[in-house]
Amino acid sequence: MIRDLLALAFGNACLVAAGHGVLRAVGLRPAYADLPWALGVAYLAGAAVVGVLSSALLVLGLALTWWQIVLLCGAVFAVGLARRGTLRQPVRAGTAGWTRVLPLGTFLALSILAVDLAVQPIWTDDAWSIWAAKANSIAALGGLDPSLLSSAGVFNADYPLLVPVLELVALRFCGIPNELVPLQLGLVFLAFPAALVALLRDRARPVVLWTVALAVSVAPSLQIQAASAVADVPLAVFFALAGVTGWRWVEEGEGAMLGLAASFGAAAVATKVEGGVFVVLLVVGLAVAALRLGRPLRALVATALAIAVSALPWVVWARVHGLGNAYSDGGGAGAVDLAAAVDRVPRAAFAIARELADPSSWLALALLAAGAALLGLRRPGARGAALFTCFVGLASLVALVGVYWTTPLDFEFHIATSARRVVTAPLLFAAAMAPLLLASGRR
Amino acid sequence: MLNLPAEPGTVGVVLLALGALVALLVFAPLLERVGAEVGGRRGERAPSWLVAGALAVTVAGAPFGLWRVVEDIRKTAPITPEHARYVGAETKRIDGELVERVAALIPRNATYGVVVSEGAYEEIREGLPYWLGFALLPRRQARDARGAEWIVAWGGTPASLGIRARPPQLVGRNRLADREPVYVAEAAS
Repeated sequence: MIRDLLALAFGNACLVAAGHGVLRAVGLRPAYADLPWALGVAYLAGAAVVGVLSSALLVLGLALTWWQIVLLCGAVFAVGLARRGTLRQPVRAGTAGWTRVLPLGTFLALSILAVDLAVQPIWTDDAWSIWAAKANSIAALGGLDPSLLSSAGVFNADYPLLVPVLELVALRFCGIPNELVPLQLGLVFLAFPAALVALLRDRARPVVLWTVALAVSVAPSLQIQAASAVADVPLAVFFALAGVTGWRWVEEGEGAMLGLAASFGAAAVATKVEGGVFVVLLVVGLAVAALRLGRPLRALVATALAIAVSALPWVVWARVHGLGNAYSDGGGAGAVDLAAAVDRVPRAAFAIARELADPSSWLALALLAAGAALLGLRRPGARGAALFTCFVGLASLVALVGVYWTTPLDFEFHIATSARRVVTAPLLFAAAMAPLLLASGRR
Repeated sequence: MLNLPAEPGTVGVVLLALGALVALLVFAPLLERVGAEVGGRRGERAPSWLVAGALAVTVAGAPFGLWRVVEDIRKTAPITPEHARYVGAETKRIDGELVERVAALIPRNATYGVVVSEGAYEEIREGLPYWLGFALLPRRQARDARGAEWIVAWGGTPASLGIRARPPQLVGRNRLADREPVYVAEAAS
């Protein structure tokens, strides 16, 4: 176990190094002692970019062995080192007085969760039938094997590759079979509160920022999903960070933030199918907000194109090899009489609303997200951010209602087994925006 | 979380009550301190109420939530790595040890088909093909069992489930359901 933990730490240190390369490439150079940046943002940026690039490399025929992962991380780090021009060092800001208890509480909650992740087996349906099956097949067969992925035993074979790639880090560095896969995947969630604090601390008040971080850390549904080794929490993390960094670009025009938004947005698309829809809505929201502020759209269009291109290799490969999923295997939306099934729309909307309003799932998180959005709409300095948050969040939820309306699967079964998970990304995005919505008094 | 307590129990109820009590007690001082930090427009108290309220809800619920995680750790940590490999099967009433014995009989580069008795539990009928797809990697599962090199028959012999095969080998009986027999056979050439 100790040997495996050390090997896992080495593999993830490579992702952190890659993340520092990404940060330098977009024009940022955080101090190594600045842990929220050095471990939080850098880790997630590394996981995002290495995950997206690895998906393409798998399609090109690589096996993604441990040394190939090391080389890839080294290459991403080297790209950052090669960047010319001045790099901005993010400002450092701490907590003072009683608010110090908030980061301590966050750290305590995440530490307990980390122990739980380390002892957690892969046991939920989706964890073994979709994600671990794909990661293990890549490890066992030395890369993507279309005949295996199109065989009857692989569920939702055309789902994207980022989560299997992250699981491969555990499988390649520790060996298979490996019981540390849930911890490996859970690191994305463990890093999120620190990353959010780092990205917003020069803009939001510490007490608000750490309240959101603490609320995220102790939200039961997020903890349970993180321990389930499924893709919804990684999707939510990447989507939320793409939204926050994208909005910071709209507000301040800082190219580094748009670069990070591109990385996190591409990762969201490479994590789950609905990530593509969410990111399209995010880009539309950013474009409208940028136009209102008179910001040129060239950079945003380039970002959107880069995200689309990053998704192409896997989409084309999966299509060429005829991979499908439960939705397409059931005949897709064409198998449903939409007029006859229109009663599903209010039922799905109600189910989604009920999940979001359940305090036993989210404790204070949904309250914070909704309250901050409503307050932001009333405050002149935060109205733009609030409109953006409401548009992206609500449009994402509407998209989910559309999926349930058109599902060829058994409606009740589909909604009962997925509604609690799929609302995670829109909710975490809205919660991540909350510190900005409550920050207008400062600037 | 595999062993998350389904019900709060006495300890959980006490923690929830204590959390709620502490939240009530600290709310007023929290509101004052958060108000001093958050400020906002003159006369605008709503942001302070929102943040202090969120903190109070967190204080109320977090001790119970974290206790549940600790309970999960306490019950999940003793699971051996060998058992951890097939805990997922057990959630579907599939005896994972049997599947490991099946894996020992089918060559790694072979294809196999799965047939399940109509009398088996629905969880088994729906979950078994995907569990085998995961647990028997890198063996490939055929979409039609009649075209496979090997047959895994769950709940009866291949012949009784409508598949021609060589004389089957009884792998064992499923301890997690009705002790239905599980057979492996090479397909009839």
